[in-house]
Amino acid sequence: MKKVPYSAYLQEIEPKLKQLLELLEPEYGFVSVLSADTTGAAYRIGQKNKVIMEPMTCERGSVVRTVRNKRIHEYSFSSMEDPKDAAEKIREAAEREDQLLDAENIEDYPTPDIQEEECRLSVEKEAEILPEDLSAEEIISRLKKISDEGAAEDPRILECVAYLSSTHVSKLYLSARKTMRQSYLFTEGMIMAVARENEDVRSDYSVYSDLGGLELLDEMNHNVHTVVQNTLQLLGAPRVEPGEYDIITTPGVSGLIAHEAFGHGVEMDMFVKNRALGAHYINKRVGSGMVTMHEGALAAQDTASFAFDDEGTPAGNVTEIDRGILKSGVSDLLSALRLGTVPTGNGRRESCERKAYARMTNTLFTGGTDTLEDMIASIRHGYLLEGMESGMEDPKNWGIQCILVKGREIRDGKLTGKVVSPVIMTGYVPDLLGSISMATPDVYTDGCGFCGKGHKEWVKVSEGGPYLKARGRLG
Amino acid sequence: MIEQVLAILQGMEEADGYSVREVKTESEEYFFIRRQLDQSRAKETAHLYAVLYKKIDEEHLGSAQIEIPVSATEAEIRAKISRALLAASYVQNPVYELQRGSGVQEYYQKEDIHAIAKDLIETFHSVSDRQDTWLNSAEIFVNLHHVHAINSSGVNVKYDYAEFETEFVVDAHSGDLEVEVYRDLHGSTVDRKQIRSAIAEAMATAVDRCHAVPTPNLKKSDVVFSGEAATQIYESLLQLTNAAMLYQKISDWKPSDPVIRKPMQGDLLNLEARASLPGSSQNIPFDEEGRPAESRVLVKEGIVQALSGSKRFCDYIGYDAPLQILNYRADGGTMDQEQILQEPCLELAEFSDFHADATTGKYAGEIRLAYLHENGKVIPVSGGSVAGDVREALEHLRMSKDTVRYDHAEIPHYTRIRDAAVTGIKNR
Repeated sequence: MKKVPYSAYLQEIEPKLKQLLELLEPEYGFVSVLSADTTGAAYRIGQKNKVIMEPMTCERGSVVRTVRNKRIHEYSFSSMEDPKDAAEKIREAAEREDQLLDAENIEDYPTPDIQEEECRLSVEKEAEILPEDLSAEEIISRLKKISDEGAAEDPRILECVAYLSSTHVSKLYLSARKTMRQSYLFTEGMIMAVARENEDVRSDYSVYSDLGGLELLDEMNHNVHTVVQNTLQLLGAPRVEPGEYDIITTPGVSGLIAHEAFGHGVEMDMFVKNRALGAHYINKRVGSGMVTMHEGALAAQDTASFAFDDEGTPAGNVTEIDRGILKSGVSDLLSALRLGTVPTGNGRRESCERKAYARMTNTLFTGGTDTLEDMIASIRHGYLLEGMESGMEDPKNWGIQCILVKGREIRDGKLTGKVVSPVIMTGYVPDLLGSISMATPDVYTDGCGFCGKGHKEWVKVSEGGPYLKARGRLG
Repeated sequence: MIEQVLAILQGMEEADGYSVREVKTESEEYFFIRRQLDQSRAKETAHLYAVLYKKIDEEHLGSAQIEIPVSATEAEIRAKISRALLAASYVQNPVYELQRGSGVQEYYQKEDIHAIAKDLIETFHSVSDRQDTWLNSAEIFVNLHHVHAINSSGVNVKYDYAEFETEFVVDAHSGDLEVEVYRDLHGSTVDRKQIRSAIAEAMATAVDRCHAVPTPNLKKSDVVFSGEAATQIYESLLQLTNAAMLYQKISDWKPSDPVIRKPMQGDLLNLEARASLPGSSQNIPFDEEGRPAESRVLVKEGIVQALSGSKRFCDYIGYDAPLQILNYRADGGTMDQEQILQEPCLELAEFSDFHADATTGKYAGEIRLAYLHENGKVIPVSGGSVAGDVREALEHLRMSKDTVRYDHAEIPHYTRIRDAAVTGIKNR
């Protein structure tokens, strides 16, 4: 294993950033700065289109947070040259906005002062194969082989895309009491096929992710046949007969349920705004005794496994649900101050150009003791649900929506080979979690997705769990 | 910064072409919890995006897209460009030409983001809460972008544009039940009346949700889209005009062909790319390849008239008029409101999320609020889902005469689809 090196650029600007803080500290009750230097490369290799680009998480920039007279202001900028100039711009921006807010007689939301504890932290996580260890030629050649194999397998395959991206994150958080540096690498992969028969066009995929390096390519090498066959099975697949069924969720779908059910619903900035029913259910039952859920950058090793969050809070691992009882939410710094709780290391920004909110990181169900075979055998008529398309939650009323690629029919304890697609699963979160009756031991996470807050603020998250048996409404 | 990168590129023999785009952004942002300030933000940022092209042989042109940090040193810039060009030399895409241009084209607007932010704050604060419904929270983002885009085939455009986004949540309650409705509005100019009206509409939706009963299990029903979700349907159809979709054989749409092979028995589809729409956030004078924004009829009375797409994919299919769609209009149909809501039907007002997939044509969404029109009554319902296929729906598609604008989209106020699958949460 190799250390993922910390950014030379951040090392270079650290003295200037410290100088900037020193210039601002006499005028403000609190000042902090977060700087990021995140680099990466993404390769999308198909038969008809080949693209090299940078992942959308790449950035180089800084954000300064200031607090004066209880008013919180932030200023984002791209380059750090002269600390005096930067300080002047920060002052000007804050004054311009203050004038407008004061003219409109707008009060500040009551927020206790930020009190930080002393913290010095430098973390360089490890990876097996760093991006610079493999040439673009070799990466493209390996992805092309996967794409070529998939496309050659059946004339109905219109396209087979192999995707790989690696993201090297370096972040620096500075304040009067904290100096925190971290660097880590995460890698994501995908194989996606599109098939067409007459007018019917269908698509399926498999995803791969890890807190680590390009060793992920080895995992992808063996799966193209399965993706192509799964895609071909979708051709002509009917929709499910609407109704309530016994269901088994694959780990990816279990993760989507975790994310939508008690991910967004326990982001504690939603508690501050009275937007989440979960605030009123702490220490109350929200699921069956088989449901235990964890959330935190330390809860798994995947794409959201950082050492500290974007507000300088060390990473955590929160038990959100313990054997069916809701125990805790996850919080950013400001929400914790406002609620009188402890920040959990979930203050995250899309980039240094966006606000920090309470956000998920790795969200997952823990495993049980059942086997998948026993789960299938226990179902008279139901579906094994696979493939995540999208999800949405309603934290105020606990509605949940999961759009899934397919369901494999189970009749009389056996998979029949019939596939329905697409499948939309909807329901009431406590009903869905309350119906969980079996779980396999092994837990898998998927970190290929992004999570939005509302319709924006995209951050990397992972989600997962074991195979779960439950009861779900499908359409 | 852009001058430095261009000078380096022009001195590198291994670069066979480039497109460089510098975007500088100034912003003001305000976040509110109820009527109090959560925090404010501002930014002054710059990004420089480059696409670097490498000729592999007579038939292949490789490319790589990178961002060069504006704080990068000359050595860093050179190293990053060299790495990208090397990588591009292994990207065997069929050869194509870059967008051509000549001379410098400039378009500047005198926008004051501080004034736009002030307008938005005053508008939100002028809305009164009611006993049964109130504003929960709001976020305001106002951006002014300065863009300079240059490529090695003569494109050189400079322009700026302002746009805003405002997200707000309203709550409503009835007894112990409390619900919320979320909205995310985009625009370029503030129309206070329109924003107040959007907040009032969200409040009315929230109140109706409080009184909604479980959606019955209709299994199959005519559905009428009456909200923003319908833009997904029209946008999935617009994508079928994209040269990339034709090149990949996902779309069969070609000029002069009907959009479906069967006779259209409902209203005929009309789609037009628009250079601008009043108040749209996408009123941008040039597209990303440096072409002036353009209006173009894409589908007229159910017949494909023209295509869209990037220069590259248009080259691949032999279509000589690339176009990036910035705004669009789907014409209204033949029905007035009473006709299009003729019972029985389920009027779909609000989804938790709604998707229409351009590749497969499938659409689906969970119903947050719908109105069941049957037996002379209109009953608000909630829960369950609707699903179907957009392309199958074209045969019997019905559209209201009047249209409504959602940011960059102008679409019929009501869109009726026959026989959608409706999964309810209560058996009849």
